[in-house]
Amino acid sequence: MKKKFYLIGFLLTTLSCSLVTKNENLTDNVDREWKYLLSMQNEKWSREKIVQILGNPTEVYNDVKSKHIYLIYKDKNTNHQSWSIGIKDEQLKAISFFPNFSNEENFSIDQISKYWGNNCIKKVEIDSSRPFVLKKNYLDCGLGRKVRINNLGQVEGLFVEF
Amino acid sequence: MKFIFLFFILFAQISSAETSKCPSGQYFVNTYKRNAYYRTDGTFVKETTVSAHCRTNHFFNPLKLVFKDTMPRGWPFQLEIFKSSSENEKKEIESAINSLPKTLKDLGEIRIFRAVKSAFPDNHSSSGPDDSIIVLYDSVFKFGLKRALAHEMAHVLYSHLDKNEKEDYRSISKWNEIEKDVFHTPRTQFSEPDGKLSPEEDFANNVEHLISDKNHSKVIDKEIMNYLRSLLGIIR
Repeated sequence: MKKKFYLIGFLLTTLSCSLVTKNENLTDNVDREWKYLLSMQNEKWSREKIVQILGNPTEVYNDVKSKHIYLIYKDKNTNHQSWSIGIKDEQLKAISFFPNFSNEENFSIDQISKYWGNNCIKKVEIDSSRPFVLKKNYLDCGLGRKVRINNLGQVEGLFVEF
Repeated sequence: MKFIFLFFILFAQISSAETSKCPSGQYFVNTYKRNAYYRTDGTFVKETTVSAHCRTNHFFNPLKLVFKDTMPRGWPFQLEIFKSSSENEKKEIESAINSLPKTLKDLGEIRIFRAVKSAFPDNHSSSGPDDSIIVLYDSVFKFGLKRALAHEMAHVLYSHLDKNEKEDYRSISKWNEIEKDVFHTPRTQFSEPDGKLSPEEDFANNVEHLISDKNHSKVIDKEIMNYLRSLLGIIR
């Protein structure tokens, strides 16, 4: 009888541990793009590491004038742009991330406050270089980090410039 | 012979069903996987597959034209001279804008301003799309009111698109945002030379030519043309 109880206890413990692990994996998946963005920003990933983690880029654009190389990543299902990583002289210079259907819930303004802090300041940038005047709404979160919000209050893109 | 006839009818039905996946006023969203996330109240929502569906364009709002007499507040081109529209001009403008497709016309309150000459050379109209402002210069009447209004209303429409709708256009027209507000396209052909400067100008030029150019010869890319026809609800 005792052995049966020990066996049941062991099985229940094993089962609950596997459930905890599964939830942690789910959490990893929820935060995956944020983890990439924060790590890239803090560790200044090399091109090799970017390709190792994100895979081969969908397109590579070599800007001869600025001498920047841009690694462009697009979502497989929608073909919408998801990343642009700017590299110059082997150094990470700019990160652009664009939330899409799959992950936009993780890039709400509340989530941005959670990961980039509560000190983001609302700013309006006006572009009058052409005969249509654009007003772009941004959250300036400091340290070269900006979030563009469109006229519908949606997060269009997260940008980091070094 | 009957079988060949029936085959063609069936083929036409299938083709028609493919090209008109959604009714007017809606756009097609393919099946996609939505990642797991936490709601603001902390509730966990697991990963799920969202089936293909039609989503309503949210930018529809009945047109309301408002004519203004003085420079818009905060207008950056301070040397431009503003004036009132005459009654004849108002009628012409109303007639031209009402001849545009519904999707392009019904974008809510549009403020129309009149000015003598643009700060930009050879420019017949300007806009502040985020504020639904259109400025028409004296030269616009010779250039073509409908064409100019199609262009400026396209700027307003683009500013009203949600992020996925903008991405749809950018994907089809091959625009990438390489850095914050810096765009690049590998395309070398555009309906107007300044279309290479930004996806907004490219969009407005393509809409302008789709509406005003009978042969659509200037909207060079077929895929872009088909996308715009679908967005604007224009049947061939």
